[in-house]
Amino acid sequence: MACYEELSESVVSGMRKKVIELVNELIAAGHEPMKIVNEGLLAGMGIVAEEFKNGEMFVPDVLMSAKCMNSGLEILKPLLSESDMKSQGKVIIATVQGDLHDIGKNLVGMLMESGGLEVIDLGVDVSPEKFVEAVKLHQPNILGMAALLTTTMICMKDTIDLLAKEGLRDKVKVMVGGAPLSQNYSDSIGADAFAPDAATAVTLCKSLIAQA
Amino acid sequence: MGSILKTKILTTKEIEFFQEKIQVLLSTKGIHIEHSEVMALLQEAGAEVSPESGLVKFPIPLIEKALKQVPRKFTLAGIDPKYDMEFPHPQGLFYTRTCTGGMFYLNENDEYHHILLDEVAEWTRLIEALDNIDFWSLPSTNPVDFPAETIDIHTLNTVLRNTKKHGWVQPYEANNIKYLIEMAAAVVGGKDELRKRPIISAICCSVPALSFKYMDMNILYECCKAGVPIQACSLPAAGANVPITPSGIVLVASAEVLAMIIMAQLIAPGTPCIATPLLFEMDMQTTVTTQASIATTISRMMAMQLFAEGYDIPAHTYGTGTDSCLLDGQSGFEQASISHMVALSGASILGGAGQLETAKTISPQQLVIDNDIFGMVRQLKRGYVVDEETVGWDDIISLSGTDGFINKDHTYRYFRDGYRAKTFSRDSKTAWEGKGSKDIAARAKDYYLKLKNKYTPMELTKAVTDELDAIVTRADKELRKK
Repeated sequence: MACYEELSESVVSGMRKKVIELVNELIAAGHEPMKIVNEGLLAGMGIVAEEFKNGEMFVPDVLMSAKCMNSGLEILKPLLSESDMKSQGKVIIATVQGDLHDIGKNLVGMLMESGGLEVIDLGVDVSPEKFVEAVKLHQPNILGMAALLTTTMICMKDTIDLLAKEGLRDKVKVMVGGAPLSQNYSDSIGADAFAPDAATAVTLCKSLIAQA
Repeated sequence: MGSILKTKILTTKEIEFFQEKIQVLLSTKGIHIEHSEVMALLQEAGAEVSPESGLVKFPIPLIEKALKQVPRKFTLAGIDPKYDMEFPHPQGLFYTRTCTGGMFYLNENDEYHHILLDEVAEWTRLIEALDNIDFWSLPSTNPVDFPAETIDIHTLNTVLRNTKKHGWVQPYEANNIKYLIEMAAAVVGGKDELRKRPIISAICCSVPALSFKYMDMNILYECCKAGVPIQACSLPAAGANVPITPSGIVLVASAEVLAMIIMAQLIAPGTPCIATPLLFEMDMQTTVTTQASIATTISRMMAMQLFAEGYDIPAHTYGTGTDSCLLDGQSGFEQASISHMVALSGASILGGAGQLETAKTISPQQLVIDNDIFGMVRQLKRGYVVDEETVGWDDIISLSGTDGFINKDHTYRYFRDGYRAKTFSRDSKTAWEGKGSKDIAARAKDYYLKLKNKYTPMELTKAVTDELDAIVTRADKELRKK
């Protein structure tokens, strides 16, 4: 007989077929869909987040567990109401103007989605104007900007200044990241947070959303 | 005569495997490029080009023809001919290069910040003073008091006033390469002279996997037109944008590098090219890009051997470096491991000297230590000849039983053969304590400060400096975006 503990362990272990099997069993046994989500799937991802933070799991493990969780969620979605499916927050991410590097940004996006955040990825070479347009359209909690070059990181300040000029600066938290950046630089341009790596980006995002 | 030491990580069959797969990738899957003039030239030369999508495929006969046109003998010129680098290396050894693209500076007082132009000047003067550092590359300077759009141009302007060695330029914008070429031409007396004696070579990079943006295609194009040698570079991170395995990253990176070399030959046959796969790995715990794991060293060894043996094209990769943020035991181990294995695998150039923190930081102390490391590795690479002369047969066969060797002629002839590192200690504990119980970082600092006191100023003529200044002023005006 399926139980929530077994389901969450299967998420942690990245056993996709087992997750699907257990979700179907729990539904058939009459369990509340939201309870299956919270006490099975999300409980498993909670363990994953903790173990990743402690260095016991690696990024591919996290992504595999997220895939398993999503496979389970896909089965449960038709049984859940829209309010049940609310994300933990909305984040826009992109690499700044003139910069084509996107590996780190893509990884941040994947980890954020695994962590339950809704991610809107604007891609690379994104101008300050395009960032501001996206903030107006999507009204995110967080705007995340990435840069890998000292020549392009200056566009981050341009974007922050434009947000202020458009009266949007207090409507969104700005997080920055990338190899040439530092906490000092982040502070100097008026960003709200600096993420030195992808894993920290997710934790910081959730913290900023919680504070708001 | 020495016997050159080699380490082979690939079998002949594995080299052939890579060559076959690269051929399949380039001829059937193809690459994506962005540059209409390059596309037109490639199409004219016989490549299959789809201008709308930028997809380019190279038929196998075209690949073979292009590879035959790659020059196997050429010279990267020093501003002073005594610093010329002939390829292949006349003694079968390797050349060395400083770290490029690093944006932070860790000075001798442990102060850490974005690099400033004064520090670029200082760094270049140090390169000039170090015998085992053969050529420079451009750091990534913080744009204080000049536009961000011309960082590379201002940096080159500073470098050219402080060195007579060859250099490797890395343009940061598509059009900047033209100004960099102009500046180099100004130093040697014109573009024709630059073609005869290229005092700069240029990096052009792929965006893994198998994709080439406009900026790098323009670098390739302008350098081919000007006769500036190309160091065709792929910078993938295993597990991030290419396969995680050493063999997987080598395949994709080598295909990208070879694609650029082929394109260079199709645009301007006979353009000197150096295969430059600079391989990294994404750490699966931290997501940080790293460069000093054993898996990455294995990848580099494979890539060097593949180009050297499989294609007879000079190969260049990181030949030192560390993921450590400071000069410590980890950095020492990683630098030793990388430099030994890359040198022995057939690399023509060992790059990345003077770096910490996965090439993000440059440190004058580290550069001084790397200078010693390269000296030692060159000695290793030379190998050793075993014969009656080197064993000292005459002395041995005539041993009386109470002989010492300290005062023998044989000792006198050979005692200087070994490289004597300036920053390493071989003292007794008493002597070491007497000298202040210093570690390698402190000894490197002392040596660096000693060198600083002996710098000789470079002298460019007023005509050249005026021309350089004029190019920089024009670049600032023409390239500034707002």
